[in-house]
Amino acid sequence: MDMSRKNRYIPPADIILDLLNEEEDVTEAILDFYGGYIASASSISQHNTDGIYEGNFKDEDLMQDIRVAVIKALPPLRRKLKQFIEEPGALVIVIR
Amino acid sequence: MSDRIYKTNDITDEMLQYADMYLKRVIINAKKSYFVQKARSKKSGITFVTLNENEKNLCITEAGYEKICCHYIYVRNRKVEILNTLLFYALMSLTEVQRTILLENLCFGITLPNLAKKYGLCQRTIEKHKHNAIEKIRRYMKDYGYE
Repeated sequence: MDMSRKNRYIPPADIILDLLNEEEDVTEAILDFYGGYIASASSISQHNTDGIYEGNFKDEDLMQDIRVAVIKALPPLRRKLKQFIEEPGALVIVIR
Repeated sequence: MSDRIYKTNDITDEMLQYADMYLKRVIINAKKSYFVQKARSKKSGITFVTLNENEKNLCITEAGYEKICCHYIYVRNRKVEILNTLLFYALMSLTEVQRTILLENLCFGITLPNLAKKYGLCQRTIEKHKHNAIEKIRRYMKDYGYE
C-alpha cells in the first residue's frame, strides 16, 4: 500500500495564501477542498433491527455541523499561521 | 499582528501540513461532538415533532377515558395506576421483588436505604434489583418498538 498518499492531499498554497490575506472566497475554496473528506466523515453505516448492514447514508445534519465547525475554525487557524510567519519557531505541532 | 500582504514564498510545507492537520482535526472533533449531543438528547428523552401532524394525539377529550383504559398494579395493598399498556406488561414481566422495590421507590417515594432496612437486605442488593428492573423494562419496551 502506498502510504505516501496520506500526505499528498494537503491544501494548495494559494488557498492558504488567500486565507492569510483574508480573501472573500477562501471559505468556499476550503469547503470545496475538504468536501470529499467532510462527505466521507458524514457518511454513517445503517443496520436494520437484526443488526444486518444495510448500507451507508449521508447525514445532512452532521455535514452541516462539520461545515459550520470548519468555518468557525478558520480565524484561529489564520492567527496561528500568521504567528508562524512572523515568529518563526512559534508553531508547535502536537501529534497524539 | 500586522496587516501586511502575504506572498507565496511566505508559505512553507510545514504550514500547509499544519493547516491540513488542523482542519482535519476540526472535522473529526465536530463529528464526535455531534454524536455526543445526539446521545445526550436521546438520553433525556427530547424529541422534536411537527405539531400539526401530532395535534390530535395531544389529548383525549372524552371524560374519564384515561381512567377506564388504565391498568392497576397492587403493591403492598396499595393501588398503582399505569396508563401505558406496554409499560404495564413490562412491569408484569418483572419478578415480584423487582416490581415491589421499583414501584415503592418511584411511586411511593421510599428511599433505597429505607427499603433496605424494611426488607432486611443490603442497600447494594436493593440498588441492583432496581437497576435490573429498569433495564428489563427498557429491553421489553424496546423489543416492542417503544423508544
